Amino acid sequence: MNWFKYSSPQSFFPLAGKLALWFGALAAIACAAGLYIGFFVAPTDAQQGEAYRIIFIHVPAAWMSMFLYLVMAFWAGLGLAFNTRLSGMMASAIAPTGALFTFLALWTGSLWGKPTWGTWWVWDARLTSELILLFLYFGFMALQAAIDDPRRADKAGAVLAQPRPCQGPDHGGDDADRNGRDGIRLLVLQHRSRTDAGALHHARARTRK
Amino acid sequence: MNWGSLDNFLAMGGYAFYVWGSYLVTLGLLVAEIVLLALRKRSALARLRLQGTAAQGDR
Repeated sequence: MNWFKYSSPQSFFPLAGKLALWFGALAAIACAAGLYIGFFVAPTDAQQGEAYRIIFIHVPAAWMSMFLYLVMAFWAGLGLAFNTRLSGMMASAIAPTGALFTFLALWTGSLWGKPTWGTWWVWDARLTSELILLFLYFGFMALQAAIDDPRRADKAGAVLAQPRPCQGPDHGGDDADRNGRDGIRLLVLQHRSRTDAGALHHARARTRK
Repeated sequence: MNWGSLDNFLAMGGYAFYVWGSYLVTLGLLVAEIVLLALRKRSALARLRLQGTAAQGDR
């Protein structure tokens, strides 16, 4: 089997058009099942009352926000390695959806936090890194939009998008453990954004020549 | 889970603003994305068609 057959946009586009219908139908069915269970099967929470039902969309949105970033970075990296046009297209296509789910994770998290924690927002490491993730998506989109040549935009975006294992906020472990890990993640993130700024500066200097 | 009535369901145990505020915004953005994608696809295809006719005109 030739794995590169569908790396050409011309052969991928008809395939994607056919698959999109099936995936869309699957997503609609899964959505309906999830909403039904979330609203009609799951009982009222003993402590949070009905407010906890927000979690049924908050967690998938947060999960998607992080997963899509990894998928985007994967395709961007593949584009850098194999110089395939479609990889860059995949990465640019995923970015707005990733930003959308990151926004939804923040929005629904806020609406859950107010009745549950008593506040819309805290500058906690998890929430802050999710906000930074939103800015990373915006940065990726802004950088690509700022470069006219699409191939060059893909490359610059791919360098910017390379995954930082630090950015995922997670809810596992006890608080001390979590704070420690998130602290390290933020430090790594700060370091990475500084090196990225350097790389971008070089890229820009090269473009000017 | 038995809500008893539509009013009870919509009231969400007093958390209607938070629960529906989350679900409606999510629904709105997902629908908006689908519409925007369809519009983008249409404009991309129209642009390609335009380029195709322009290229034929050059010949």
